[in-house]
Amino acid sequence: MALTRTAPYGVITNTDGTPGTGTEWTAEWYQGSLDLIDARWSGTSFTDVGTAHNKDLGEADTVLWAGASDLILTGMVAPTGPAKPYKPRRIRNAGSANLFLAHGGASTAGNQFYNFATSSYTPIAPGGAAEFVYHSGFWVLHKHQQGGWITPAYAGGDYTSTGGGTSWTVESGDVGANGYWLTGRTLHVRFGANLTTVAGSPTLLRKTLFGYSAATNEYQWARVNAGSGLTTGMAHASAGNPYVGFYSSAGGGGWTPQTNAVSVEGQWAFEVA
Amino acid sequence: MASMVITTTRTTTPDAAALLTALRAALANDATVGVVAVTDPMIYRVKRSGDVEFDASETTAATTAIEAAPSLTPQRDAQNQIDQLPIAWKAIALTLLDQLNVLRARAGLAEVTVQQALSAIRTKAGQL
Repeated sequence: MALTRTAPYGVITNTDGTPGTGTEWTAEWYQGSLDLIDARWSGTSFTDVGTAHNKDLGEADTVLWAGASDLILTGMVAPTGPAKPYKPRRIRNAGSANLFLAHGGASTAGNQFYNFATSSYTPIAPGGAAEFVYHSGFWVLHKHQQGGWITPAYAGGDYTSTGGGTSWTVESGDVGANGYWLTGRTLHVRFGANLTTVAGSPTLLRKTLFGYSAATNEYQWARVNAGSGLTTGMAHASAGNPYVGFYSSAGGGGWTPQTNAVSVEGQWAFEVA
Repeated sequence: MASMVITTTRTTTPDAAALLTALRAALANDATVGVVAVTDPMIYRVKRSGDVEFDASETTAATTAIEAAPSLTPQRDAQNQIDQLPIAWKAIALTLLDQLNVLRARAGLAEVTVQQALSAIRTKAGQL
């Protein structure tokens, strides 16, 4: 990729010997030209946490983030003065918390990210990285490696059931595994909950897809215990919905009231929007 | 809900159905008691409804029950499946039983009840 150059580096010309003609090749001019080259490998770091909009990271090509807790980054200041189309920027998570990059987030138009997955964040776990290129008015995601799996904090509201008067109670201690790993538009999910309680006779037990929405209808096997021993059930994601539902059998059976006896386990991959 | 994690001296995977029955018996026949292996076969999580935490005697009783539970064998696994036969399989078996009882009646033999038939199948699985 060519350097973005403006006067006195835009068009370099020879002198015909007359003072004031051609490019003046002074020490300052040479220093400026080297600075242009140095900027191609410039980097910076930041430690914001919480939520950040329109983050100004200067001309940095490589950015290290090392916040003490999670950060939702909704955009970065576009490369300016002059506009630098196709400017690349790599972001690496050099810390121990998680960095979430919002697609078309709350930053000003022109500073936003354009990611592969659009229904929720593009996450970067510790050690992970993403590479953007600025064009078409966005920081367009070109490469992404999440790094490790992400395990969100327990939230009882993530677990629901279908059917009036039914419920699925999953307590914090019941959850043995609950993580995800996003690659492109494929969300890998691992989940395991044991000794949970079902009230009523729901058709489906549901858990959220970590904020993502399924893009297609998918049926995959699950290891379940509906109260009478381990057997094969199903995990079902339906297009447009932000959850995965579980059936008690391969044939799509529902659930019966059970106290501290229901389990659902498995690892699946769903296409998400 | 009250729960506890118990580290046992088990060296084999227990029969889950037998384990649950034994554990509930050891904990005052509490039907809300559940158990799951955290790290099979040594560490288990035991849970029950209500907020009353398990006391020392209950922990001891639960540990004893877990350690004494029979190991899972192919025969026990088969018997557990027989205890939870899917409706389709049960329908096949009981239809054959109905036909058998017709023949038995013609031969002057007593009817074989559903319970007797399923028990015989269960016993046979234990002998294989």
